[in-house]
Amino acid sequence: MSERTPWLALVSRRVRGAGRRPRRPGWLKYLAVLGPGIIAAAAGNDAGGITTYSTVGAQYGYQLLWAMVLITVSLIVVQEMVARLGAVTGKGLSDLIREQFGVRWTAFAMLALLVANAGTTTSEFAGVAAAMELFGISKYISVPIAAVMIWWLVARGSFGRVERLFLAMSLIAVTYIVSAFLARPDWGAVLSHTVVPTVRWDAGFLVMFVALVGTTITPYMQIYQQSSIVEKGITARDYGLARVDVITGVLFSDLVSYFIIVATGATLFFQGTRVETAADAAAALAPVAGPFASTLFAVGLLGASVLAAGVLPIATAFPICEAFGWEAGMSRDMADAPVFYGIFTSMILVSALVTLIPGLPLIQLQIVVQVINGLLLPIELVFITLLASNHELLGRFTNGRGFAILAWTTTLVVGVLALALVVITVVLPIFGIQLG
Amino acid sequence: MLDKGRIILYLSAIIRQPVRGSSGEIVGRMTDMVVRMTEAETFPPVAGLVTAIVGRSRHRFFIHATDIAEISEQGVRLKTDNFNLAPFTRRDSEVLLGKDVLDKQLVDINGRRVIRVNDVTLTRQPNGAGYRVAGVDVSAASLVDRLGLRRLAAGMQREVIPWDSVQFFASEVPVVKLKLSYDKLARLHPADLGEIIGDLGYQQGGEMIAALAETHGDELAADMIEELDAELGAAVISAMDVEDAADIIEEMETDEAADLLAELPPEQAEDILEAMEEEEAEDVRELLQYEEDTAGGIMTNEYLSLSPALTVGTALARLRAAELPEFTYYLYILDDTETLLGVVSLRGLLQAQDDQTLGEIMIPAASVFTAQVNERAREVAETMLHYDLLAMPVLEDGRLVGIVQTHDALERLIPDESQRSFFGGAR
Repeated sequence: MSERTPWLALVSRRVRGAGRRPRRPGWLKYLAVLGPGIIAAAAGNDAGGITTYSTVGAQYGYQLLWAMVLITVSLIVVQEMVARLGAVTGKGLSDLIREQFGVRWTAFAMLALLVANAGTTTSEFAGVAAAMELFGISKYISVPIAAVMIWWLVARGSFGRVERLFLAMSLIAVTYIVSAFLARPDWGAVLSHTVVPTVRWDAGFLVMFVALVGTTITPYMQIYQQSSIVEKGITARDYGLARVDVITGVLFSDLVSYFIIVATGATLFFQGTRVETAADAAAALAPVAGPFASTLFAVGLLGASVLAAGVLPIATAFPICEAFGWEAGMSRDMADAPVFYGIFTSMILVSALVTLIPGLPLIQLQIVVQVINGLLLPIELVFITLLASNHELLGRFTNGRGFAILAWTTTLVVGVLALALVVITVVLPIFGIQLG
Repeated sequence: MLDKGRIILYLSAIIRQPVRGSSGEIVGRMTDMVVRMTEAETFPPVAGLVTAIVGRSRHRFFIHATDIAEISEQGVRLKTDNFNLAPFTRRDSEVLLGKDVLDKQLVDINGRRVIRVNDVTLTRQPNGAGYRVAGVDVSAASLVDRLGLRRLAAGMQREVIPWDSVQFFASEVPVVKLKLSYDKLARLHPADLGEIIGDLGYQQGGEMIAALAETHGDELAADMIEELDAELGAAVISAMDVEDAADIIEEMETDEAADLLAELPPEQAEDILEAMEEEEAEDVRELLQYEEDTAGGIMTNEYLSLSPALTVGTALARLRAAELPEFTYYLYILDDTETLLGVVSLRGLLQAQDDQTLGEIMIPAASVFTAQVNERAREVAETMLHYDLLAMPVLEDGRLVGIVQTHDALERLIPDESQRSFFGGAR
């Protein structure tokens, strides 16, 4: 065609501005479009996850494997509920809490979420520090760099572009499955501990149990799952497929977690090694990677940590702002969305600073965070179960009787566990009673 | 209608306050307030109160608005001591302010945004005409107030949006029949409405589009859906009745319609295609067969085609009478087998002599940039950008099957905002 036309001046009104179809203002566009299941898998095995599973395996061998089975069932129940809530209502979890329970309960739930997520973010920076120390790089260098980089990527809305890289790195955790087999564990013992529960009523055991629950059923995963269902435009009609994705995601994630425990149980537990540093934990990959175990472990841990550290501030600032009706999103500037920028900036800042406290034991810090998550989890579970049982909200998609029993049992057990832990570690010592 | 000097009541301050009979004795506690919402009422009037009897907190009864003497932050005073204690049941057109409006999302028409209701304000009508909803408070002050920090809230700025410039959604109240007017929304640009639907979710979005389609025509509804991305558009469509959905999709550009239907489960897409007019459905089906990331996947098959033997005069007359597609700048000159012979621009047509034939004035096909139907979409877009093309004809075995327009091509190069900022620097 011979005419030279300045094409932008002549095209329709739609092209101007944000491109032809403005994307929905939802927040997942800032993360790459991945199956929620895969993200679930990666997030379940973040820094806190790898550390907790390793510590459980090293300290108690296979004794807590049965718990993984129960936790997996619970996680499926919980994730299925939030996915269903998202598909049927088309709304996020924090929106629903606000609309059904009012301002005070929302403030309570969001505060719990903020604390849990800020803690988890701290454990991710601890993961970055631990991983980089394996390469001989001090945390005083690695953590500030990681914090600035993550803040920059999140604030610019570009985190989604690098997400895949960290996701790929984090998938190194899959090598634990190979390592578990190469370590030639006593499969009979593994199997019997998977089926027959071992319960010990001492504080240490209970702490690890709650940490295991807290890191596997991480509070932010529910928020994330529901929002991704909403933003992918999954509706009540095509919910069936989403349910399959949810269940496969959980199974895959927990399979990896299970084998981290088996691998560490077969190696560290029998060598009598306690996990006190990342290097100790890395030794569980020795059967598969030999002298490169430490490098492999560090790369996987770094990927998982950065991935989650980028997702968490987004998965905190958005739901809180949505619940209270504040402006949110990177397309608004700081003056328009001060709370939004404030939340994710201070989360990254505070988490990174806590990690930098001299002499802080990074491994123990991560376990403590998972315990806090486990203690806060019942709050969120009560809201989720109440919402999923609300017939006015979900109509024929409301929890059935059998499912409701399962959901409430999960909530109750997690609640009782949290309560028992508080009683054993805080209340009883006040009266001079010490268990275990 | 509502003058500004009047006393304003906040719902959160009066809900759960005691209800006293004319003798001053407490008869119960107000648990919610019932208002009537109809198409005619700009500011919904209070129809009555839902009240819990003292000592029987599960039992709710209804107090009619005409029995109310005064509502204040100290509670409700009634004109009578006689009530009908029959249990409260909901009726059509009735909305509960506490349950259905407070904490929900509405659209602020003037602000072109979705807001959350932190509180509802009410005013008293003159001459004992009762109370009406005045507006919704969206300020942080009302949040702080409801958290119980009244002192702190008192020093903060309130922001109340009058009820006549917000849009409430009937789908918030699925248990009763509600006939609302959505006219206010039609004042907004489809692009803004699209963004609002993104904030609201597909249920409310579907309701909004269906209502606007009924009152303002399927064309507006189609424009709105074109503004959504295909995933959300598909969700909204799937929340609607198949016949309504088909009517709206017929009004969409075929390439947009194809993108949207491709996001639906196949059976559902098929149902909608069956319900559409045959000709429209055929055009969409034709596009659906091409891969997403090819020229075929981004082209539209709505374009102007004419035969080379026509004179300019006849062509102009035909164009005037025709139902035109969106893109009219180029006329594609085809022979009987739909082979592309050349292109005439609108400008060329206007400046030619009436008795010249299109074949004489056309730019021959050999000097026109064309794309093959299975060529990669990104390459097509880059070619268009490089040569400043408004549209590019797409060929399959030499036949013209569609055209790629600039905005479709542009989308391939700047898929969304987050990527744009990555390439383009500061936002």
